Amino acid sequence: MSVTSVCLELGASLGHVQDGSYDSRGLFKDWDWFGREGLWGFVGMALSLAIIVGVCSVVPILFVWVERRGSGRIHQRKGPNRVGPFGLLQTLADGIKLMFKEDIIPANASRFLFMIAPGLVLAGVFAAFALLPLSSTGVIVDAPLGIYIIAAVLSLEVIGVIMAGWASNNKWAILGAMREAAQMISYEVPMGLCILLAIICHDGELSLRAMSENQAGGFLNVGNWLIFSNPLFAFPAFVIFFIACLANTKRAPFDLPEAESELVSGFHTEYSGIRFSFFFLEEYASMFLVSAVTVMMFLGGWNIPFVPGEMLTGGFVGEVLAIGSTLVKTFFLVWVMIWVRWTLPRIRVDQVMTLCYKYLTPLAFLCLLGSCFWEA
Amino acid sequence: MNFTSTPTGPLGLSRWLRNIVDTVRTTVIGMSITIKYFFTKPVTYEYPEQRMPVAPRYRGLHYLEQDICIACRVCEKACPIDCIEIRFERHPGNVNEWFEFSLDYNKCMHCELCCYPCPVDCIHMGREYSLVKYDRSELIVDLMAWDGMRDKDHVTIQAAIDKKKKKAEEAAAKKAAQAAKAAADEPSAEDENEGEDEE
Ligand code: SF4
Ligand code: SF4
Repeated sequence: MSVTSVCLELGASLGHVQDGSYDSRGLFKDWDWFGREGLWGFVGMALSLAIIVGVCSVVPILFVWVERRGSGRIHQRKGPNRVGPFGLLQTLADGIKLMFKEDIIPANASRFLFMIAPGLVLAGVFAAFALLPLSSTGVIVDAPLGIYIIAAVLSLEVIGVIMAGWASNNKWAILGAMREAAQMISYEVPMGLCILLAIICHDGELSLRAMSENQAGGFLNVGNWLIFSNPLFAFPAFVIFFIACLANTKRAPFDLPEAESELVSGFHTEYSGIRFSFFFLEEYASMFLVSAVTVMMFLGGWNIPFVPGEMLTGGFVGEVLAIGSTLVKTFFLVWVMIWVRWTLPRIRVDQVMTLCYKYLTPLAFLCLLGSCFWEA
Repeated sequence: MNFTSTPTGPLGLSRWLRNIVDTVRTTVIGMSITIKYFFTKPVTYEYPEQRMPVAPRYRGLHYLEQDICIACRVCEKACPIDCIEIRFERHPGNVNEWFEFSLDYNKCMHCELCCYPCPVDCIHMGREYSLVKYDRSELIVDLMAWDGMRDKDHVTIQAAIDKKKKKAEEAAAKKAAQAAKAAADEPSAEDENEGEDEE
């Protein structure tokens, strides 16, 4: 609780770093809870917190189910189907089991770091969730520096992972953490370049809501989606960003930090019980997060083909449609991540380096340069 | 996917481009294969409810047609690891009163050697394979399908006993007659009289 409220406060304060010209809207704009002092401010804070915690815990449960069932079908199995309808409650049952398991802290571990690492990992994702505009008003903190803050808090997660690996006092854990560090410095470069590309193409906007708004209109309301409006350079950038996101979420083929066939379980080898489940939750929550960011930067945010953009930014129906469209696109990208995981084998550390430095970075630079000319 | 430049020399521009094309191509091929499998029907049998069909020659748990079994103990002797334990009592009239026909599945290796020699072909390997028990002692399975002596059996036994008795009597009588005859052959009037009395 305390971690999340701190994060939210951080997000909220960053959201209020704005100049007068910027039109900041938010889910609770009408009541202006963040602006209020005392009780109402507190209530607004608690409500936003409840929404984030709710989304953050329900979404991973859903994705874990999708992952298990999907991998099952890819293996021609059925996947879990005993607990609840279609096995939907399996993850919940696992969560309850994890909560009641013993929380073991190794004798020689660095206790304090060991204990706060999972919280730190989760904190980044929690904080970033507050910044996601699911529709034009469906955003808790509409920060003008949205994508910048998200890029920053995504790196926070890496610190948590390294902390966990270091504090565990375990060879496998430290190897996993070092791999994560090495991986991070290689994927962050193309990722940053792709974010830069998106910012340039969206007229210098850093707010995710503004980016989504920018992609409305055009041919059938898809013409202005970044990957269609700038197909030669933004589409490769979208693919590069997606690959970097795969590396960011530590998903196959970039699951080196936890490579269970080599490192037992990598950086969370020594974790058990609820602390382990934090890492587990974080993986799926950040899948949602990076997919949503990709959707907002490249795939038109809340815009739906054939539906005029103005319809989606006002009125109850528009809001519902907009949120639904963002979620559908995001879920599709999450599904692609799952699909990739069950297709490609894990690549080696040096292959990750080669891929990111020798291929993705030059390509991202080319795309960046190209779209500078395209937009000019 | 070949990301490295080591195997065939330095990484030139053409190789770099070819690697990118190869990576994209192979990834697309792999993903199309996995999605194809995603849409095929799972091959799962949900075991306790659904069972996989087994081959006709499958050697599962034994079953015994006990009403044919003649209690010859050949199967017991044939078993290389002495799994079969047979205890019975044979009553007159070939009526078997069974006490035990058990098979120790702790030891049994399902070799079917016990089934071949049975003279009346009454022990078989079945198709059932699930033998889940909570305790090892429960793996000693009683194959008996015998539900005790029936009235019919008692009648048979009685008849056999009577027949035997009758036979014995007849035999005794015959013996006596022979004895009498033998005695009669001897030249003694007293013996002859005795023999006649007996008759
Ligand atoms: S199957 Fe083989 S091991 Fe089992 S009881 Fe028959 S002879 Fe013995
Ligand atoms: S060999 Fe056949 S007839 Fe003989 S005791 Fe075994 S089962 Fe019965």
